[in-house]
Amino acid sequence: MREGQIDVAIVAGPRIKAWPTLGVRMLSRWCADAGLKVGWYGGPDLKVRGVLPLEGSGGIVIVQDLQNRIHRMQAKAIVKVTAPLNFPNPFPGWYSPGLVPESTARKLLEEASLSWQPVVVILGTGNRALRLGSEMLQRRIASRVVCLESVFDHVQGWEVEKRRFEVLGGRFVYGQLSSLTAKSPFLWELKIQDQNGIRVIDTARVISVGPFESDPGYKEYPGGSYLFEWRNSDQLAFVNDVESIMLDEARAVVLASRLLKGLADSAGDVKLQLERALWIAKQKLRELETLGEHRFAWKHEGKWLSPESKQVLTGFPGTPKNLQPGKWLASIECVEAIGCRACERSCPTNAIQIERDVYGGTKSFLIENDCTGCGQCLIACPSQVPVMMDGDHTRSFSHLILPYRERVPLKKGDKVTLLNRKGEVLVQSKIVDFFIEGDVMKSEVPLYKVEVPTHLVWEVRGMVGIAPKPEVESPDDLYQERGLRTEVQIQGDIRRVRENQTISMSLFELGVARPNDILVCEDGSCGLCQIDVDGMKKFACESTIHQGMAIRFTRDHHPSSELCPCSEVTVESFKGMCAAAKPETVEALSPLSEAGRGRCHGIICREACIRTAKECGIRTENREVDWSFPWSDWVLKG
Amino acid sequence: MNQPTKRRTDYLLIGTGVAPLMAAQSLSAKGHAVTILNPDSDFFLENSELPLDLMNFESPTTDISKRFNNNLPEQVYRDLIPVFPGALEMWKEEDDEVEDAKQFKVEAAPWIRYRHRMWVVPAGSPGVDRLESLYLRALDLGWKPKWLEGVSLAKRFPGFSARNLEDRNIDRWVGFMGPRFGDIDVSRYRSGLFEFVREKLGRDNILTSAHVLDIDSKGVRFQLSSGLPINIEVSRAVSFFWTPTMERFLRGQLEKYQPRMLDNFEASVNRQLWEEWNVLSRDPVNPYVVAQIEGLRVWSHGEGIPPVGGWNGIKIMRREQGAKLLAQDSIQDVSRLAFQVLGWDRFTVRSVTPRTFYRWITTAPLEYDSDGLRTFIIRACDGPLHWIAGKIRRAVDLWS
Repeated sequence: MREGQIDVAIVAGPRIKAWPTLGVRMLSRWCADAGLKVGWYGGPDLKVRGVLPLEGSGGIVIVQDLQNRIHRMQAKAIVKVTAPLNFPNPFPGWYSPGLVPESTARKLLEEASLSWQPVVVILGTGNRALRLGSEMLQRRIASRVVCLESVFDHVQGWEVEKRRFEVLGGRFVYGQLSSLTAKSPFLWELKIQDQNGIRVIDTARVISVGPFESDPGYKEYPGGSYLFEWRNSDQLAFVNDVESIMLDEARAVVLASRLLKGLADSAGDVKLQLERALWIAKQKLRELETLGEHRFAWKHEGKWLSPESKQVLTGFPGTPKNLQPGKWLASIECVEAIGCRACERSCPTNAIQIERDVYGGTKSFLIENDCTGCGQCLIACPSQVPVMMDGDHTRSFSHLILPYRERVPLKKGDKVTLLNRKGEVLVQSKIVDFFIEGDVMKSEVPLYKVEVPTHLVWEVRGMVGIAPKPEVESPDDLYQERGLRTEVQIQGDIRRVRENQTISMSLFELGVARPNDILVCEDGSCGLCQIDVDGMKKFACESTIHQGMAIRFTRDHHPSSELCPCSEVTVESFKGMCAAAKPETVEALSPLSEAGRGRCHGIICREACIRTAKECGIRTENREVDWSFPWSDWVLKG
Repeated sequence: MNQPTKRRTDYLLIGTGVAPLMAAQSLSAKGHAVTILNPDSDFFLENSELPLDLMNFESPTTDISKRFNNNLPEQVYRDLIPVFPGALEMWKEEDDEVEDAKQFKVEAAPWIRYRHRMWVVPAGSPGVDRLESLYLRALDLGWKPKWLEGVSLAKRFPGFSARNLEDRNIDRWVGFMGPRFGDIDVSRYRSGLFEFVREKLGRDNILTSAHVLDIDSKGVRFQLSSGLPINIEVSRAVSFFWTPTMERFLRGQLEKYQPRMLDNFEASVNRQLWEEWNVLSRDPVNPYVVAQIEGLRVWSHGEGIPPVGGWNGIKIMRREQGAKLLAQDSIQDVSRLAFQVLGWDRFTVRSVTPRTFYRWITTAPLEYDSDGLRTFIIRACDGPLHWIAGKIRRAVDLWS
């Protein structure tokens, strides 16, 4: 065992893949500049086993390296970076391969040869959910995507993401999850309770994204202990997740400020710089918070924008006030104070200048004379909000530049149907020309110049092809084969699966995945996906397929409605315990129930347990950070 | 500004664990009005209560007969049942062999389990002399200990694996099997008691997250976490229950009201830091024995009745000598136990928890006067649950 002492230890919790994250780099830089001894621990070479809090403040970090040496670091302050799983409250059949978390879904999208027809249901309507839905539609991975929200007519994501999702053909369903049952290995029946009764959706898979509750971001627990949990969502896979990146940046500054205040005696100039950064970060956090409280939504009268919304649109400083024939102008219709500034940074002529008002709100301003209509803002915008306009009020037709997401490119003269902001059909038109070619498979969306009736230039915001071309002969053609196949034995049967793929992925492709395979975490941190490979126990998420291997399931796995599948605690027994013991705080649940104390150490059920406790009237506003050691089962070999 | 809420009570009990609940149950049964105040946010956070006596015989003059007597299952039952409002069930090895033995039992009740205590040391080590001395004293006192060596000892050890026996030097362990002592489900006991006391006193008389305490002749003033100020007029006594969690709080109170008693306060305890390891066994573990080996206490852990063959988890309590948690020594000790004694080729750590207990030098309650109000500090409210119950019973007798 190697021992060390440090001021600030930043440690990667289970299932953190991209390490160090952007926020971690920022935080450590601030601390190091102020003279603190900082270390970050995580990634493939250093596995953090857990943290043992010390009495008073600080704690001990136990880290295991590639050679299985154990390092014991004593730190004055510890920041644990976590990526919590967003699972819904348990309902019959929730714990099954039919319902996967977002990270697993993304991995399946990228690596598995799976069909996502007929429908994909995404749980949650936050930005990440909308973005995932838009991506699936844009890349034609799924032809129908539905986002499910429990509160009627309450979409949690930004207006721009909602608009993009709807224009692409995504739809919203409001209701409560009722049950999920397998109809076939690749088809699941999802029942949703809504105002009109039970709605049944046959879905390829349900993807749980959330959010299902407000995210506290970071928390010091216990107060004054210098032990922080930081819910960091910045991962490599989500490079376009502007909201997460902004939140991470702002939270890194706030955390740095808290650490320096207590630990750095003389940070001098750094403290001054940090104070300035802190002011901006707090403004940003306030902006994002207030944005969440007052979501903007365009109001429509039928298919048309309502007069009030029209007024908001034309009066907004980002939209052009004087359409000039023959001159392309960008219309920055980002009415919500998002403030990601991607368009501003991309503009080669500085025609877009986003300024911050005294209340912390941001507004986009277009300097019409400087705008050359190059379209760079449209390409840079992660939500593809800007619209290029060539308006002429003296003629019946004007022109817009719109993205089009079909696999087979359009050509000049092709007919298209123009859509409003909700994805509803407005009128038919035709492609005038290419503006920028792109590769849809790489998420580069081609832009087309399209003819639009002049009276609809403020209404049309999307298009779809008329009479879609037979890009596929049958639904099976949507299936994309990746890599060579080889023969293996699964439960005694010979099956052909792709070489060098993880066993979990292969089980999904074959339709024989177990509920315990749904995390596909690669690091074996939950220990759930244990499987017998050639007589040896291995983790399916990190073992790869090779020719002739014999795979056996170590135990029977069935879809479950249990709150904690590892400890087999049901929702009813958990609620019964809460009702009997009536603990004051959620922290007190730990010694009372086995829930969250099983093999996965609460990775799957912890959030659900807290929400269930809240339903039972237990205070969760000051929810604790779970510092129990270790974070995942720790195997020591002789 | 919030106006203080005024209340009246006979006894105000201030503590974090099971001790104030036990006292409240006893006092309210005698017809007194009782209010409980917890500086913690909940009654389930105290972790210095133990299901059994760790039997840390630090002094060769320890009266082992008395100690053994105090830990007999029947005595554990006698200590705990008077303040518990429901059933306490008993389980012993023979019950597994009698099919009908489990009839008419409340499965969800706290169970007192009969388990042999076994002391083990490596042959030839300095510990053998002490062990032999302990064995002889137990023998002389009529406890019928059974001296064991080699396989006959190892096979009784909780978690022992018979794999690769030929490669392991089993003969190097010696020890003896002592009498059967009782251990109890702490969590179930506390929950059951809390549920009853809460119903009896009413939620208004069990207050958590209380801070800023001022005591004078009329009573106690404090604030809840919501900022709500409360005045409680106490007619008889205020009692603090001393557990490790309460130490800082109590020191603050004494500094404020009785600074002269601080020396007495500090001198009455030695702090002991323990590590509690929960380790998973590949095979079910013998649930009938609690073993002590080289400073480690090892037993099969679970709640209620062990399933046939036993639970798969074992609990290891390890006294930390250098007050350095999870250091090299502790991992080595547990690894040696797993690989050399139990014969495992690997083991899985489910959890490690630091626990602090006191070794009490004086256990009599501290009594003083806080501006005219009779105030007690009840010592020894940590450790085995049945000891706490006995301590509380005596304290309640003292007040009444």
